[in-house]
Amino acid sequence: MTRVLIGRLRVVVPTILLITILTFALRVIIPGGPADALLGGSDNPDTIKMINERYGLDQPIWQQYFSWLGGMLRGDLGTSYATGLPVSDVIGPRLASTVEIVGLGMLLAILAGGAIGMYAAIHRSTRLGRLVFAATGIGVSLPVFWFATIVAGILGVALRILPVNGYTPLADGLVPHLSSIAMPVVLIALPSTALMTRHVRSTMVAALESPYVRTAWAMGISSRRVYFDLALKNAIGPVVSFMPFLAATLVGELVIIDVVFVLPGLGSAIVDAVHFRDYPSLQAIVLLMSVAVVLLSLIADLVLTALDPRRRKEATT
Amino acid sequence: MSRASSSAAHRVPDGPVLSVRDLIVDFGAAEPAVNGVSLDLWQGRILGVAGQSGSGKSMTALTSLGLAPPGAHITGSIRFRDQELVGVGQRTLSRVRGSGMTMIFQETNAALNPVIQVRKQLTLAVRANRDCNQDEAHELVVDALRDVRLDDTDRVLNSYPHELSGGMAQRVMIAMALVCGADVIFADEPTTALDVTVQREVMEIIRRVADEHRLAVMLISHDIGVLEEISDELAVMYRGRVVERGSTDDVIRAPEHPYTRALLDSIPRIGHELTEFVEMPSFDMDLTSLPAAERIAEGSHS
Amino acid sequence: MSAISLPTKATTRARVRRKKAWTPGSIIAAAVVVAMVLIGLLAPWLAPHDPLQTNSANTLAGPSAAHWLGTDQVGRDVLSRAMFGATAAFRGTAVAVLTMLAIGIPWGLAAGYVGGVADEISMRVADAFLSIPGLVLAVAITGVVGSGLTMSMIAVGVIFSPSIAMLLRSNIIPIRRSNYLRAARALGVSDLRAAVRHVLPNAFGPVLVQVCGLASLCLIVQAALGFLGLGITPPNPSWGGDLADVYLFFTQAPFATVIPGLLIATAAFSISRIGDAIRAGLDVG
Repeated sequence: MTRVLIGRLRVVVPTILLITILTFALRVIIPGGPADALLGGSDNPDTIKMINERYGLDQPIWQQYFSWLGGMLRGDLGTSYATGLPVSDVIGPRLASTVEIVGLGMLLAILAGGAIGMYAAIHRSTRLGRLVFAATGIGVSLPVFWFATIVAGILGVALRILPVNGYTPLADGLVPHLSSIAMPVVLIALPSTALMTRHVRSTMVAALESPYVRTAWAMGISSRRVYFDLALKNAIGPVVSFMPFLAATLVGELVIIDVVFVLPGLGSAIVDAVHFRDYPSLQAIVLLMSVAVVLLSLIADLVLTALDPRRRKEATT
Repeated sequence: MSRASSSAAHRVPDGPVLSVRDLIVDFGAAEPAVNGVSLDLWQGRILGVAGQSGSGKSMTALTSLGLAPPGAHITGSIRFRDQELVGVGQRTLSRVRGSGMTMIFQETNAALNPVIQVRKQLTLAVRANRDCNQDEAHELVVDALRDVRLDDTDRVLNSYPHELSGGMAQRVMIAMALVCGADVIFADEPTTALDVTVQREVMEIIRRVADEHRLAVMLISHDIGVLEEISDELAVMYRGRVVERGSTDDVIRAPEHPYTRALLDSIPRIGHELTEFVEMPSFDMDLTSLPAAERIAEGSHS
Repeated sequence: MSAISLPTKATTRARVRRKKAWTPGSIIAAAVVVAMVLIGLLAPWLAPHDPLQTNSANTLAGPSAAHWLGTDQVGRDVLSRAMFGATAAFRGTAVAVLTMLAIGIPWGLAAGYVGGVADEISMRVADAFLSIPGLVLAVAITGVVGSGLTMSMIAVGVIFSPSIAMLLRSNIIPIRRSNYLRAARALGVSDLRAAVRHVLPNAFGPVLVQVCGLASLCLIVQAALGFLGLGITPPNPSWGGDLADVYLFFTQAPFATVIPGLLIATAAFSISRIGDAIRAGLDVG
């Protein structure tokens, strides 16, 4: 497994480096430069010069990148323009709800999407199987912010079954905690579950219609074994390569879910950063979210690889 | 051919193990994929079925196993021992599959599961069809591999299919059919993708296991030359129908249907000089109007 | 439609019946998209009211003869705003899709054609792009360059371009090895010419399917930006922005929140249905 991990890191590390470049490029495209934007464009050149010196903006761009990257690697995410505090102080308290909701959402999307996708693949010629597949088509195109507002409106405001007043930490009790994250987790997972279902279904159908599954039927292997032992193993590879997209979709929805449910997470932090033109925080959050996507897909990849002998073999050679 | 007649001679079969009558498999196309086929398979005998692709050979085999693609409308009769299989549910069919009848396919690279070791694939086949413990299963697997002349059993068992040569993979496939303990094996173009010398080896193995285990084999090929060497009987299919059927000797020596003659003429033979290029005649005519076909069609109804 | 279709192994399918591509459902979907685009283009002439005209005496009203779809929280005509909202929705989607194609097609051709190290690097870049959530980047870009539709949708187009590129690439590699390309080369056709003449037409169908899936996604991202108040500047009409305005009044006027959301969902679903229909048509060919 260690060797698999090393093999994967050869891909993951360059990817993360490229993400840092893309994220840093956000600073470059600010019209008039960060200082100008920070000061509203009306201040005299001396002030701009002072600001540039203070934030290191007078250095060549590649030098700025490396000092920024070096800071990121040391855990120094920069200084917030909005508060003057370290960005890590802005972001730190926002991680708890995000990690929990994104992590549980991903788990839910993989498990529910996997199970429903399997069902739809096995029962692809029945009415219910086709209905499930058609429903995922709607699930994919359903805007979460709309659906979330309706669900929050009905369950939270009208019926008062679940709270919509933000995040209750675990320390305040298990039941209040779980009820505060129930709707966000289910809703954030909704589009990814639909995507996962469609993807699992199509790869499972390809496996089920393959010659080797026909062989298994001919040899009298039971349908349970064909579905869960044989075809599923062959579907794992394509499902793994789908993980980054799934994770990216999920993390993207966080912005919406945080805003609708007033959650203190990275999603609302990025919206705040935009409103306060807090570029260092903005960059740090985009970077964190993208790295989270890479790490989530890495974890999913490793777990699924552990289940698949051929991939395990390929990874070690 | 001499092998074939000698092996069949010392056995008196007690009725066919699989009996197909008037089988029609229709997908709603202009013509049914299988259009009134009648065949018998006997234990210890090999029935060679020749015909070009799309003539309904494989569909007849798949339908007998209950593996016709969805959307097939099936009529007629398929009797395995005393059990009628047309119209029964998948539960019954899956009981017959494996332990009763099984099938081996061409292109073993695709037909064996690429992500599962040979050992596990064979063991799964044993476990699906027999009630036995781990050691007994292993013994069965090793015996079957010896039967198909794969003596380096450990190496084979620890391989993935893509690590085996085409001939070895096909022999693994035959071993898999053997460990199921089936009485009937359908072999669909088992040697088509292999080169000529390997082809011969695999055919000889099929002949031998059929004799040793008293298996009823339906051997499907587009190449009647391959079939005539090891089959006891031959059937020729064309456009969903059996147009000629009989003992291998009779069919080869005195083919009655023009299509059979055309198939035979297309094989180059040692001693016979191929004087002219034989073009496959086109048979876009109503088959039932041909005298030979008529006779066979009637014969199968009786 | 999954937004990225990953190359899966071709399977021999015992498919006997031809799949019908253009079912009544997909024809309706295509008609809905065409109608929405037309309404969006003709909104200034079709809309019964000024979408910005407020009326404090008639807020959150249900459907009536004067206001077929009722009014919003400041008394503006929901129907007129919905019509103008279509303009924003499809303009934003078009910007993103055009950007996506402008970057993705040359990228894919280059990656598939040049191969080697260039291909390896372009794969890593694609991985990096696909790891940045589209909506997050769109939000960030808006934050950097200020509110407005065009820049953020260009950013979304850039972010989604690798899935077009990777799809083209996976279509090119087998074609590159094919005989007719070898023949074309033997006849002295240049690589670039061969790529454009032979590869693009062959990959056209799969790319179109992909574009439909991604267009549907872009439309949702566009609406989400509006919902966050970062796309079209209020009070200019956009489906996402209008939804954000009324959703707090859900208990008083549930109907008002339904219209913009339903429009977004219908548009996104219809676009992806067209993609499904094209895909079904390709499956048999």
